[in-house]
This record gives sequence, C-alpha cells and structure tokens, in this order.
Amino acid sequence: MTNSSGYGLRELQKDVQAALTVSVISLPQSMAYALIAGVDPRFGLYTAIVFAAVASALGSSSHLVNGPTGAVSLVVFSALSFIDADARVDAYEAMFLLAIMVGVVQIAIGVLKLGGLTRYISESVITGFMVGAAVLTIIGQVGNALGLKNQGTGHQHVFYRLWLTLTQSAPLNFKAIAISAASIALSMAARRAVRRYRLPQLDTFIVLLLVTVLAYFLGWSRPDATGQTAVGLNEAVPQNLPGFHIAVIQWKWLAPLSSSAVAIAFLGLLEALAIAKAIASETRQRLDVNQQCLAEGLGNLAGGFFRCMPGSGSLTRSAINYQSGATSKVSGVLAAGFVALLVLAFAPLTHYIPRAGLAGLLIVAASRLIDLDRLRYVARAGVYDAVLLGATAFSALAIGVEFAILIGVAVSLLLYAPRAAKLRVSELVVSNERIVRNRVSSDPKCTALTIYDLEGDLFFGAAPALEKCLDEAATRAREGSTGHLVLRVKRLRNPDAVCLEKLEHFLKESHRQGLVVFLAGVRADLEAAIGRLRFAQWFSHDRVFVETDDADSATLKAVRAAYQHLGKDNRCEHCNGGRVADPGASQAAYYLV
Amino acid sequence: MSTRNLHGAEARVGARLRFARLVRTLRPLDVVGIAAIAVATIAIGARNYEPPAELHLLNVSYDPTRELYRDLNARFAKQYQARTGRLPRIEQSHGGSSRQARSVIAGEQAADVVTLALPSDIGALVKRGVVADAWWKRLPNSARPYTSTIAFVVRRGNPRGLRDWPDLIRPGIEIITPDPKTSGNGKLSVLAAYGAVVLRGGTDADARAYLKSFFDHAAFLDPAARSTANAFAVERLGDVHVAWENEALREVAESKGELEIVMPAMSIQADPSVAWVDANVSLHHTEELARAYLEFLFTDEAQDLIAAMGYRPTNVAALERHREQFRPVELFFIERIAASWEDAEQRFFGENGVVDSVYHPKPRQLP
Repeated sequence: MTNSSGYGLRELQKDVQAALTVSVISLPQSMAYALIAGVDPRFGLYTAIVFAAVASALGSSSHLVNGPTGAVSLVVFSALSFIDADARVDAYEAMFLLAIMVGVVQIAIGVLKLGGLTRYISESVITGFMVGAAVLTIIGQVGNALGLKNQGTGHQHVFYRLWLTLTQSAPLNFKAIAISAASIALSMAARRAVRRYRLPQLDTFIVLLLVTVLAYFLGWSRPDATGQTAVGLNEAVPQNLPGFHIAVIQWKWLAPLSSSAVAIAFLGLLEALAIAKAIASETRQRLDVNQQCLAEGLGNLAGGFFRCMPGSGSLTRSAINYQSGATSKVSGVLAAGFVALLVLAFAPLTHYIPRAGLAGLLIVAASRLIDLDRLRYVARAGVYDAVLLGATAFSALAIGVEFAILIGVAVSLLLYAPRAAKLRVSELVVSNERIVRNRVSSDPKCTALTIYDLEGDLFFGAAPALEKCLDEAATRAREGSTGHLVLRVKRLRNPDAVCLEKLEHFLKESHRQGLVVFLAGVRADLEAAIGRLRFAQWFSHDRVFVETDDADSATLKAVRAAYQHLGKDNRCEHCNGGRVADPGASQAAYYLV
Repeated sequence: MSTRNLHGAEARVGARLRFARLVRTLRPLDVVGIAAIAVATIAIGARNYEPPAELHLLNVSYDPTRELYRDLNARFAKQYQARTGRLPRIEQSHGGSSRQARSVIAGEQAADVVTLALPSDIGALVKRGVVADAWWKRLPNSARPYTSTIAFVVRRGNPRGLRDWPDLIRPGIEIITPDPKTSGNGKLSVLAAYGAVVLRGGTDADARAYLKSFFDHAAFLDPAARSTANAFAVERLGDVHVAWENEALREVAESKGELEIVMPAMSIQADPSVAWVDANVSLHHTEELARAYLEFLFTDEAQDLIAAMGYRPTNVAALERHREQFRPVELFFIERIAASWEDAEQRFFGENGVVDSVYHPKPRQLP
C-alpha cells in the first residue's frame, strides 16, 4: 500500500484535490441514480455520503469511490416494484431494509472468504449485463427526457411501461425535449473538449449547471400563477445531513426483497471488485478481495440505517479519482465529506435542476456503458462468449435485470459443462526412428501395438466420452492379430467413481477378449484410486506404469514392456521392417509429442 | 464401533476442524462485520417487533354469568383446540347488561361476542351498526341459548312469609334488587312485577302504583346483579332479593341453608341473547372463532352445563334432564305486556318511560 509509509502533506493535498473533483461529480450522479431507482434524490446524496464514507474507509482499494450506481439502482427499482406505487414511504423503508439485507449478504461473503468466487463469473456475463442495464436505463429515462409522466407500475414489463408512457394522451413537452437534447449535445461536446484539452473531468457537473441556469433564465423552472413549472423539476433536497433511522418495515417484505438483495449483493461486489482490480493492476496495489467485500457490506448495512440506497463502486468516479491524482483511501472519505458540505450549502438550489436535464445526462452516461469495442472483440473471439453476452443482455431486458447475472452464470455453466465433459483422444505411433509421436494418416498400420493418448477430466459427465474412447481404442487394437494396447492416462485428471467403474469394466472385458492392456503414466490420484478399488487382485501390477519424475517416461517404459510381451510373436511388417521393436535395446524408444 | 459410526465421527471431527480453521482466520474486520449483522438484526427486530397474533376472544356479558362462562370457556377452548389445533384465549367481562352494551358501543370494550341479558341490549348495538340487523337469524333458537326468570330469595324459614309479588310491598319489607337503568336483572324485575299486576286483571295505573311502591321498598339500587346479591347474601341487607333465577339458585346453594328460594306464582320469561359483534370480529379476524364459540353454546354438552349452572336450557331434552332444580312457575312471554323486547325497552326504560315515572335513582350510600 502506498499510503502506509510516508503519508505527508503532499499526499494529503493530492487527496483533497481529487476528493473535491469527485464530490462535484457525485452530486449530479447521485441524484440521477436515485431517479433511476425511482426514489427521492436525497437518498442518492445520502448514499454518496454515508455509504461512500464507510465503504471507502474500510475498503482495501486505495482509489475505489463508492456510492449509488446505475446498475444497482436499476435492480433497486425493480426490487421495490412489489410495493404499491402510491405508498412512497413504504417503498423508502423497504429500500433501507434492502440496503441492510445487501450488506448482510456481502459481509457473509467476506467473512466466509468467498470473495474469490466472483472470478468464476465470466467477463462476458458482466459485459452483457452492462449492455442490458444501459438499454434499460435509456428506456427508463425516455419519459423524463420527453417531459412525460412515466406510466405503469414496476410489475409491468419495461417495454410495456415505455409503450404506456409514449401512448398516453398528454402532449409532448417541447421545452423538456429541448433541455434533454441540449444536455445530451453539451455532454458529448464537453467530453470531447475535456479529452482534447486535458481539462479536469467536470463535464457532467458543468453541463448540468448550464442547463439548470438556462432553464431558469428562460423562466421554465419558475412556477407560474398556478404554481406549475413549464418543465418537471428535481424534487427538493432538504438542507440537512442524513440522520440515524431504523427502518420501519413489514415482515412480509423480507421474502420479495431477499432475491433482489442477493442479486444486488453480487452485482455490487462484481462492479466494485472489477473497478478496484482494474485500478489496482495499474497502481500495483495488492488488493484484498475479501476485505473489499466486507467494506461494501458494512457500508450498505450502515447506510441502511442512514436512509441510503444500496450502492457499489462507481466506475466513472473511481476513474476520475485515480486520474485526479488521489494517493489513498483518504480521498474517498474526503469526497463523501465534501458531498455532505455541498448538500448543506446548495441543497435548495438542486430543486432548480430540470428532470429532463438529468435524464439527458443519464442517457449519455448509459450509452457510454455500451462499450462497442469490447462487444466487437467478444463477438470476434468466439461463439461461446457471444452467446453468453447475448443471453445475459437479453434476459436483463426480457426477464428482469435482477436475474440477468444469475441467468448469465447458469448459461456459462451450461456451456462449460459439455466442454469439460469432452475427452481428447489421439493415437500415437512408434516411428521408424523409434520416436513415439502422434500418428499421421500416412503412417503404416501397426498390427502389433496400438497406443492411445487420453486427455480430460474424468468426472461423471465425461463417462460416455471415456467409454467411447476406450471402445475405439479396443476396436483399433483388435484389428491387429496380437492385440496389444497401451493407454496413456497421464493427462486424465480427477477420476471419479463413475469413470473408474467404466475403466474397470473395460479392463475386465479386454482381458476376457484376450487384449493385453498397459496403463502408462498413471498419476498419483488414479494410482491411489485403483489401489483402494483393489485392481491389483485381477489386473497385473506389471501393466501399470506409474508416472514418475525421472527422465525415463512411464509411457516409454510401457511401450518397451509391450514389445517385450510381444516378443517373437511380433510379425508386424511396420515394426520389423523399421526395426522399431528391438527387445534387446533397453534405451530403444525416444519420446516426443 | 461400526464403520458408519466411524465415518460419522470422522465427518463431525472434520466439520469441527473446518469450523475451527474458519474461526482462527477471522480478522478484526470480520468480527466487526459479524457484530454489525447482529446489531442490525436486533435493531430492526426490536423496532418492528409485534407480539404474535394469538387467538383471542372477548365475551362481554352481563353480571351473574361469571361462573357460567368460566366453565363454558374452558370446555370450548379445549374442544376448539382439539378440532383446529389452536388454543384460543377467551376473556370474559361482566357488569350490568345495559351498561356493558353501552361500553361496547363506545368502544371501551372491544367485544368479539356479546352475551347479554335482554335481546334489546343487543338491539342497542344494532342501532349503532356494530352488530348486523339479522343477528338473531344467524344462530339457532333466535340466538337465545338459554332462558331464565325472576325469583325471590328469602332468609331461612321465610320469616316475613313472602310468597308472591303483592307480599313484597307490605309495610316494613325491604327489597334488594339492582338498578333497572343499568342492569338486566333490574329491568326484568320491573317487567315481571308489572306483568304480575296487569295479567291478573290490574290496569296500567295499578301496575305503575305497584312499581312505585316496589321502588319505595328498595333500600338502594346497585348497578349490577352480583353486587346486589352480595349485599343481600353476604352483608345480610334487606328481607328479599328479587333476582335472576340462576343467581337465586347459586346464592341459595352457597348459603349453607341460610337462604331459601321462593318462586312467585307468576314471572316473566327472560331471553338472554348472544351475538358476535360484526364490527369487531372483522377488525380482529375472529369471525370464525366467534361463530364457533356461540354455536358451541347450543350443543348438548354446553346445554347440559348451562342447565347445571341454573339457567333454563333451550334444548328441551337438556331441560328435562335437569327438570327437578327448576321450580314450577307460570312464565309469561314479553309479548303479553309489550309488542317486543325492543318495544318494552322503549316503553318501560326509555326517556319518560314507565320506570321514570315511578323511580328515582337510589345509589347505595356506603357508610
């Protein structure tokens, strides 16, 4: 860790600078993510204060900035959909409970040291999820961008809600459309300017400031005689800090919230760990994955008692934190403190932010989540990842964002299992130069000795493949008059009962048919297994060649033993013609694959 | 030790070792996390704890039925538990019948069922909309599980020779009976006395004169039946206790020969009635239990118990089985002196009714 030794004034100065930048960006983002979750914007700000401070202070990563995030907020929105749309207070209390439940799951993952398991979730699943989440975010903001009241309830499908919103009888609000269009255009221009002139990354903040000021001076955000404003405004944020509050809940909420809590817990960890790992790989920080899980969990749990939404690591804010020169966790904690100060100073002003302006920013931010380069890369890499990505994105849109990652993981397992169940089999041959190598079709047929090399995992799923391979080898060996078979089992791993039984059955059957089988390169686990199963009672130990460390390969020993066993009976043209088999020469065969 | 046991023991040892390893590798932040989960669970649990909803029923009844419902409740609870597996907790409340009805109307008592002295007391609940109009059609026998009447209790040997209604207003006789404004017993005493005059050829004016004299002979008017009974039997006040027949039977039985029961030649048939309180059972989700409870009162088991407690069961067979404890008396129905119980309530006990013309409140002056 860079901060443990010699944290001085210089480092503090850098951290303060980064924290200021991050907090200014946090303000609009947090309110926008609350908008995605369909809750009061102040809860987004509270999350950027309490959750962010706790998770940053306890976390392992030096640069990860925590707070509300788009993906988590999407799941929060659908998690709260079971509560009646009019019961806003109930929905808020349920959200605080949800944050606590997410925290409990994440802490459990951290304590049980299961954080490492997240690496089994394929990158393609995450990419697919991001695509689905981005599309959902954009769809969800169409109503706000057009100045229409969002229609439908969370129970209804997102596309149906969009249809209801677009087909309602209310006219389009062209002032709102102007604001959202302006904020989209300005964001894109501002990002370009920031890139080109290497400016501080305050583009979202400045764009939001611009459209808010613009709307105010056009009189669109000032109430008319009837108290209405021309465009919908952000809900007022009270000018105070989040207070301690124990959620007032109904116990029947626990069941509908639990699956979402697990989904958010995993999603949040994946998001946070992916960002933390990406930055850590550049800073060469050693990341403690389980500590990070605990920190996220404690942050969510504590946040649930201070009116916070569930949150995670933010990609944009973490990147800006890093690029702004943050040196340690201090910047993350300071950023949370600065957000608190900003809320105290400017909370009433946030009421003048037009909702269409936030919607425009969200649409831009969401479309940036769709990383076209990465999609192209995945599509070119192979069908497997493309299917995985497509299935995850599709299930996010069609089934539900909270199930998308679980479905993605299930699909990846489904796709992986058949591949794992495959055994690679190749026939080897002893060449005229006494080299054991892969047989090519031009090699003459050897009627004396057949050598098969097997590779793969010997778990129950592979049993049919194993049976097929063995049958093929036996058939091939019986074609020769003398029927000698060497099975190279060096690269068979983790034999289980089903496969061992298949092997035993094969060996006994071969013996009955007069086939002489040698097992070459038997590894320790297989040796132990056949020992326990007492193969020795019916299978000569002379035909088992255990894999050893010495230079002389077990396979070569087996081949020599097979030729010795063949002895004078070997009338194979290939063997005798090429002087392949010479029982007299002890160092007769070389080995090469 | 068999192999299986050996494996079981090995597995247990293995599990314990794994657990021990997990505990050893706990770091301070892990401990903080576990503690945080515990604190959060307790905080949420304590903030939102509600005592488990138990099966609970409140029976608001009139005054002398304490022993009756104590026994009936125990029998019913046992039977209900055997049938449904859930043990209901039944609470009972007693007092002057009209006063009990008023307190249910006022919401002071959240009665699930009412078992009151007069059908008109339940009528008062109907007028306020807390009991359904057709309450008397929902149970057998117009929702009257038992009847009773008014009897006299006198001292041993009947020293004042009191045999019938006219004897009570002889000079020097002190009558003990409850207040008709609050008590079912008090009301029925009035109706029985009135009937005893008019049904023997007297006019309304004769009957009112009799009632005026009757209340003049009352030393005091207690609000409810049981306290009145105690005044007569325990405190030995007055010469005659004009009481519920069931209360008279209980009093005499407990007096070890000190008291005697005297049946007047003529008395009124009282129709105590029962109903579940619709407004409250829907609130408490106890409709099923309340209905089962009241239906139980009409079963043979309950009817026998009712008879044994001195109430006249409406089940004829049960009444026959306990015939000997009920003295013969000429019972007249309310319809002989009024159109109905509601009409009687209106005419006798309403504003400027018969009672208002003959009685003035006479609360007991405690020394």
